[in-house]
Parts: sequence; structure tokens; C-alpha cells
Amino acid sequence: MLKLLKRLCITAVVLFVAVVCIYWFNLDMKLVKLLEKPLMQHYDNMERDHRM
Amino acid sequence: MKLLDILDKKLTERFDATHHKADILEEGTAIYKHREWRGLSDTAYDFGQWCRLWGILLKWAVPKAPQNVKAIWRYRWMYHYLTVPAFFDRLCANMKGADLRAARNNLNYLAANVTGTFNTIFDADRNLHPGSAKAEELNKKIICVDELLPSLIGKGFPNCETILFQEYAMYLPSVIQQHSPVHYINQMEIHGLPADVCPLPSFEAGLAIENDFPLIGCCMLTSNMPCDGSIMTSMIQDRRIGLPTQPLNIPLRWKREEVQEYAVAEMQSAIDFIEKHTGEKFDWDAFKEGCEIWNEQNKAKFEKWDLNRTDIPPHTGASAWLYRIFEHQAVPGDPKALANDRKVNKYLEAQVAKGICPKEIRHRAIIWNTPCNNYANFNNWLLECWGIDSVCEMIDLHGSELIDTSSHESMLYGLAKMYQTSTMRAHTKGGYEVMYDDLWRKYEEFHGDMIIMFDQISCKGVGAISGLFEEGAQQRGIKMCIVRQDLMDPTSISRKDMRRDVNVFMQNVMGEEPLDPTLVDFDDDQSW
Repeated sequence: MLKLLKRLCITAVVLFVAVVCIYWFNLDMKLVKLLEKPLMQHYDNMERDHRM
Repeated sequence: MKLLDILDKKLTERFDATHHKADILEEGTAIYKHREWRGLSDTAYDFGQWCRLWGILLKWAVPKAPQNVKAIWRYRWMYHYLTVPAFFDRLCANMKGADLRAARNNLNYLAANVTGTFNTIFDADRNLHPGSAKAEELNKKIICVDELLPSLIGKGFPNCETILFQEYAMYLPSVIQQHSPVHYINQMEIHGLPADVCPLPSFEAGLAIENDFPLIGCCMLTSNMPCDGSIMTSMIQDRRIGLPTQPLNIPLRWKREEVQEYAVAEMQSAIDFIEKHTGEKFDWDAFKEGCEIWNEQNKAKFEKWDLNRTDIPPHTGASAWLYRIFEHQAVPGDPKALANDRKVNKYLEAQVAKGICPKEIRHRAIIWNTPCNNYANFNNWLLECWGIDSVCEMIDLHGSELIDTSSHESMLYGLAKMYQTSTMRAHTKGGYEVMYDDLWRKYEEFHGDMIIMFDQISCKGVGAISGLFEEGAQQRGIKMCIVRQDLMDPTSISRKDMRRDVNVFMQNVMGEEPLDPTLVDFDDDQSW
């Protein structure tokens, strides 16, 4: 039980530190920026039904 | 406690970018190299709210993951919603104390509401679910309205969802990501439509031409608001979308009593139209409840205006005006929005009562004319770079009358009046007395000491009276800085161009030095 609690505490601390790092270094938005180019290429290559 | 103070001091010495903000922005994209340090307590609060935002996004994305991935894959504008955390960071730039708390709560409310609406839209979208009987069943209870029409009328149809049709594909992406309109404006021009129309209807026309609106709903209420460009784009959308459509006409000279009878008749006609297409009867009790909540939301806004008239304007900028637009148009009568208003007002009142002002204010500016969508954080830049606080913003000032809920007739009258004070009808297209005279009144009321006047180059209505503004300011001895912008087209006037207009004015007319010299000239052309 104590061992499980210890593991849970360590996991929580590691997760918290990881989330703080993502926040502080803006890693979430840097990742989204990486997706921009391939996604825009995908949208440009989609078959479209252009009509007025 | 002492340990925390020492830690705060050390971290502030190491990471605080006040007065050299451009140093933490990446060249070109202006993405933060690292997020802002605001002091230990405010940074911790910001971190908590950022976690809350990701919680909201995951709560939306995960349960219907295949459908949401399909939506991102299908719609170009959906990519821009992935950048929302960066958008919120920009709108909260340099904020501390109650301002930060108000901004983050407003924006997270917005995120929660928009993602909830995405579920309604994508569940029913005929583009994502072609031929689906389930989607068709949902569409029978979806009323589409033009994004410039408030959704309050829908409160009388509690079994239906009222969706602002262009809000999610056009308006919000245009403020979240400055380049989002460009592709669609190009489509509109490629297909031979006039290039000198306002970018807002151009963006809508481009979406219709490219079939990038979600196909939802059983009927559509369009509008004559705000202008002729918008009326023309309604026709293009109508052809493409193919829903039964009725225009809800809103009088222009809404201050005049003689137009009210017509305005009320239009409301009644719209109710009849919705009843016919949804098969639902207008529920006056539900509508009354919605109006009463809306009145409380409005009173909460009046309190905010009162607070901004004090020496310590606690909540200014786009997180205030964008929230106000959204509240007025998309969520009037929503108890969750009212709860958020009350929570935010508590923060603001407490700060004003304590006499704390956590920002450097040199000037109290009245910001007039429609703000620039592709530079929603312009207010933050004004404050950070030059100490100009936007204590009163024209776009924030609509919907200022309470609805009398004592009878069906008075409610219809109040509803018609509310629609007449909508975004871009309350002032820009509401006639001389509201666009011109109101400016000088607000200047006095909010104790302004300068005016920032947007010259939206493709808005011909306001362009026609720009000379009168200059003359009026000159006669009154008011300092007025004219800033060119093109609403949502950064290819004609960039953010840098807008900043240059202010820089030239502040250096040459006001003879001042910037608070943050690194923000006078920096490259953010590739920024979202």
C-alpha cells in the first residue's frame, strides 16, 4: 500500500513537472506550429467543388 | 511565506520581460520562446487557467475523437482553433491581477461554449455525415441565424439549437489567426467578385464558394446588417447552402421611435418563419426567462463600464470586447455566462476597492470604429508599448437597453431594440448621432485623454465621415491618432503598419518615448 502510494506520488510529481515544462516553454504551440505546413498542404490538395 | 517571496524575487529577476517583451518572441512568428513571467502568484494563476483550457479542449476532443479529426481534416478553418492557447496568451499579454483573472475566465468560458457548439454542429453536419438519417433528425431542430443577429430569439424555442451560422467558420477564426481569411478572400476574387468589398463578407463568400461551411439546420435567418456588402454575400451563401431563408431586416436609424413598429413586425415575422420550419410553437415563458437572464448579463456589463470610468480601469482590451460581442450575439440568456460575469465582476470590484493598479497607464484612450480582427491583441500592444489603456471601446458598447418582460408586446419591443443595438448597427451603421455624437459623449464619460480612431479602409460607410471626426477632434482640442486597418485582411494593412501609425503619432505629436522600446518595431508578419 505504502509502495503504491509512493509510486503514485512520484508519478504525480513527474507529470506535474512535465506539464509545467510544456506550459513554460510553450511546447504545445510549438507543436501546433509544426502541424501547420502539412495540414495546409492537405487542404490545398483536397478536391473542391468551387461554385458560385 | 518569506521563502516564496525570495523565490518570487529571484524568478522575477531572471524571467521578467517587462519593457523588453520582444526578447521572448520568436522572430517572424512571434511565438513565445517561453511564456510570460508575471510574478509567482499571477504566473501560477495563468498556469492553472492554461491547464483548465486544455481540460476544456480535451473534454471536447476525446469523446468524439473520430468525428473531430474528420472535421479538422475536412475544414481548413478548423486548424486555426488548434492555435487557441496561443491566441489566449496574446490577449492576456502583460496582464496581472484582476485583469488577468477576468480575461482568463472570459476566454475559458468562450472556449467551453464554442467546443460545446462544435459538438452540435459536427453531429449534424451533412458534409461530415452525408445521407445520415441521424444527422437529418438533428437538423430539424437547428435554427441557423446570421452571425450579426443575436441568438436571443432562439430562447423562445427551447427544444431547438440556435447557431450563428458564420461565427464558427468565419468570425472566430479571423480573430484567432490573422491569416485565416486570406485563402477565402482569394477564392472570392478568383471567382470575379469585387475586390474592394469589406473582407468580412468577402471571407463569407469565399467559404460559400469553396463549400467550407458546415451544412446544418432546417432554416436560416439572414439579415441586412451591417451593410450592402453583407446583403450581397447572403445571396451567395443562400445559393450554396440551400436552406429556406428569410431576411430579418433591422432599421438603420434605430434611435427613432417611428421605426420601432416596423422592427417589431420583423421580429414577429421571424418567429412565424421559425415556427413554420421547426414545427415548434414559440414558448413565451422560456423566452421571458432568457430575457431576464440577458438583463442581468447586461447589468453586469454596466458595472464593468462603471469600473472602467474610475482611475483604475481594471478590465480592458480584447478579452473584454470579444467576450461582450460573443455574449451579446451567441449566448444572451445563458445562465453559465451570467455566472461567469458575476465571478469576474467580483475580481474587478475587489481590485478597485483596494486601489491597486497593476499596469502602467499613461493615457486613457477611447477606441472608436470597428476593431481590427487580424490584430485582436492590438490593445495589449498599445498598453505594453506606449501605456495607452483602452478604457472605452466602441465595439464593447452595444446592447445597452434592458428588456421589459412585463408583457409579450413589451418583450418583442425589447427584443427588436436589442437587435437594433447589435454589433456594427449600434454605432457604425446606426446613423450620425450614434457614430459621431456618441464618441464625444464617451470621451467625457470615461475621462479619456486621447482617441484612437480606426480607419477601416474598406468600410465605406464610416470612411464617408472620417473628415468630420478629424474636424470634431480639432475643434474640441482632443488628440486623435488615426490607425489604418483592413478588418481581417492582413495582406493590405499589416499589424506592423498599424503599429507604425501609432508610433509616428506618439513620437511626433505627443513627443513621448515608448515604455517598451523593443515593441516599437518588431517582425510578427508570420504570427497567428
